Amino acid sequence: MQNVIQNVVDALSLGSLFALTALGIGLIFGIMRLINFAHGDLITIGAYALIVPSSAVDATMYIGDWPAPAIIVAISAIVIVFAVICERLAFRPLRNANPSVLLIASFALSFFLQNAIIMIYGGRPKGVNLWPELGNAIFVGRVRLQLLQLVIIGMTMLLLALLALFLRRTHIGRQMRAASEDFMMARFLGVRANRVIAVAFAISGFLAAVVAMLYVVQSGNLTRNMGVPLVLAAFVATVIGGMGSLVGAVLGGFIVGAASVFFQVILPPEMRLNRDACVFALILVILLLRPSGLIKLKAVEERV
Amino acid sequence: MRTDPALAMVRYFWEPTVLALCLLIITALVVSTGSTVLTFTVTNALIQAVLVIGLYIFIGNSGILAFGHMTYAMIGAYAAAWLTLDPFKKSFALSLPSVLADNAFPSFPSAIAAALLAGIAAFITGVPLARLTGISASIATFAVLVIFNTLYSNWDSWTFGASTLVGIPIYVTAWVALAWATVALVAATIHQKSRFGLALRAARENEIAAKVSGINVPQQRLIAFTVSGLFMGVGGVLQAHFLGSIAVSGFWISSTFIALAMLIIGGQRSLSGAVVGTIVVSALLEFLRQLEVGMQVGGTTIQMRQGLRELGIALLMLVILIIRNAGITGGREIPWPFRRLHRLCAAATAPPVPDTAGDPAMTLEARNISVRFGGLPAISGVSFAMRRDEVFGLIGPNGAGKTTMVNVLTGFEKPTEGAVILGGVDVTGREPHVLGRMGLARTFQAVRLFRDMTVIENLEVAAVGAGLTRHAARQRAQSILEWMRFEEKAYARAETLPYGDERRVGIARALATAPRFAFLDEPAAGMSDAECDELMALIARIPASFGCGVLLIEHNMRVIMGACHRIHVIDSGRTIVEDTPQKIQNNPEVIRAYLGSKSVKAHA
Repeated sequence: MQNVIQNVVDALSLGSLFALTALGIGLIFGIMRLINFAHGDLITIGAYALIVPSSAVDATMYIGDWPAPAIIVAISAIVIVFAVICERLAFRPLRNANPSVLLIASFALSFFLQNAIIMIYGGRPKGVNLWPELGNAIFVGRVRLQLLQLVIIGMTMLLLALLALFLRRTHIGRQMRAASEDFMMARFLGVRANRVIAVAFAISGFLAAVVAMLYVVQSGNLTRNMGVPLVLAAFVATVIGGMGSLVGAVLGGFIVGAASVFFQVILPPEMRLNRDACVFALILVILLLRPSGLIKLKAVEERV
Repeated sequence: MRTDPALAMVRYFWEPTVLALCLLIITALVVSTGSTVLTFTVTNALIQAVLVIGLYIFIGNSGILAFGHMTYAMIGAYAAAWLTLDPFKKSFALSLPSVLADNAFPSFPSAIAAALLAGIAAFITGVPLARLTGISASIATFAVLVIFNTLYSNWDSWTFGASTLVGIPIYVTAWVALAWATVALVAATIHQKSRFGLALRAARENEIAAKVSGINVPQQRLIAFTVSGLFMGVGGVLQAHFLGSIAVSGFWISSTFIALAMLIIGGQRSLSGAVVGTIVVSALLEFLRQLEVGMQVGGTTIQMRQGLRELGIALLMLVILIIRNAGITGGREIPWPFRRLHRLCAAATAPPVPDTAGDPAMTLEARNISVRFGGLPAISGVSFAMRRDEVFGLIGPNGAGKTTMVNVLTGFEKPTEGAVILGGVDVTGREPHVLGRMGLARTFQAVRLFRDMTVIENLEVAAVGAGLTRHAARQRAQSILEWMRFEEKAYARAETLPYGDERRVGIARALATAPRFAFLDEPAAGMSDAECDELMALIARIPASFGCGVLLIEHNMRVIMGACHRIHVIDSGRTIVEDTPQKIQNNPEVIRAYLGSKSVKAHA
């Protein structure tokens, strides 16, 4: 029983990180058909922003030493600003380009950001210790769980609910939904493209900041490409969920998380290092069975 | 007109010849300087050229970005190491089966075997990937990269895990790399100009129209993917035998990025782009590397921080994408400079319009077709049959279900009930490209030409899709263009045509499949009266000239009444009447459907 619950919690907390990342990517894809590979580097930036910029081997906490609410606000603000700047400088000039060009541009941007991080912080991984008290165990009945995992799951549920409310109830949220149905038509009806896209990038940046903080607490490490595994998992999550569907992206995130934990549990110990290979192979199989993903959107389909 | 086979050959291999000569000149110049550093850079660039050409074969022709191709380079490189590494050195790092562990095979056969293994891996992984389209396909290629990278970094007994495998025999010089780059150029050209390359580029331009032209799109993607993987394998082998060492981490995202950057910066849609991009990016990388090491400029040393190279390439790529997203070459090949010789190289005189094979009495029957979208009926129990010697009109008000009917007949929509019978065979629910090959062709309201291809290529795609060779396809395309008196625009690019011409090319393309039945979906939309008359005469000639029955959907009554032998009228998905044009014109039901019930009284 202990094991089963532990595994479910593992799957949910890992899936939560993937889902939040996938949501950050899906939100922008829906509106401007951009798959933002650089989203992973926004996560990395959020994590590195905790420490003093230097190429020294040992990390010195800067923002990371502030009280928790200040850290959350500061990191979110920094990542949001970066996200909006990336949009302004790299993606806005490409607004009318086709999705492949946008994808490759985001790949280039990602490469740029990763190497900028190397130039500033050096290429070696650095250990950091953020909010160590979250590593404590708590008991729910007789089951022992890690506090951090519950925080991750709780935060994710809260953010999903807030985002759903935002998209349904606010004016700009409705405009964003209209834009992701049919961007051109939405613009004809008075939706301001720059504003909607900037807000989408800001929200995406905020989600990246949250993932950055949670992920750093979990891994205790900063590496220049720490965002890459997250973004790769989130990519396949958005594809198996169904391109353009936010619910699909979240669902896909949890599926990838669950698959990772599943293989971690069932693979014999000597095979465990190949877990990711199994997860991604499973995803190829899902795509083979459902090429347009689990949730198929009319807006993305081409009419004959 | 005369064709000179030698000249045609020169024309055929014009682009790879010029590109290979450019590479040869650069290589010869650099090697003659005797600088080891520069020779190293040029050799490396030539190996990169093989990789980038490998990427181009798939990405350029299919239009699908692939991020997983370094996988195949890795597979090739490791296979080369297994085959050629000295047995004594192998015993330190690897534990291979005895055939491999106890032998070191000669380098050239090993290189071929290693590349073949990469090709096979590309084929196997390509099977699921080829079914995906656009962005989903691109992202799925990431999955392949992750899978093989994870497996190889943990497969200690064969790959030495994540550690660097050293001691691989070094034999790749600038000249060896140049020879392979030339082979890759020639192979890419042959693929590009073959029916496979033509078909794949058509699918890149418009997947739906390609399917209707009888092209099995996943199959074409798979062919290109396999060839592409094979040459990535060659690139990997060359890298292994150039550096003497390999590591799994060398085939991950950074190397993927560099290779993609070269292709995109040069122009992903042309072979010339692949080569130009490799040259430009390699030169820039070398320049930035020298800046990192420290460069002497007029007595002062300029030295930049580590990481500058990657930053520079990323920035260049973003700038190129923003100001010229088709790359330096704009996706065009090196032009053939001898215009006067152009016609001599083209195919000989075209034969008269092709016959369509098969039983001339064959019929196409829609039997009690119903289609419901959700609960909403779009078509309810419509039946008709048409012959190969007639023009059959299908008319009705907007939303009557006409296009849905054509979608059913061409396999884009599965009917909820009913059957499509072609020559006595039930073909309901078959794939569009299968029906295309069985002799059903169509045009689209949205035209859907292959925009970045010439008019004649548009027709050739359809002829190739119907199973002709490249040569026969060109002849058929020419004969149809002559039949339509459109030959003077044969070499215009489709996207430059005015609207009326686009529609005519759409019809010509449908006819190029040598169809038994052609469905024309509103061909006269947006045409002037004079153009309509011309079109009407053209459509009326189709059954006799091609042995092809025409199903005509049209709102323009001049065209319908002038061209059709019989007319089938539907409204709200139901048949109203089927009769000759004269009787249809006076049918009160039809007038009611079109003009409302009041006008019937007025008319009576």
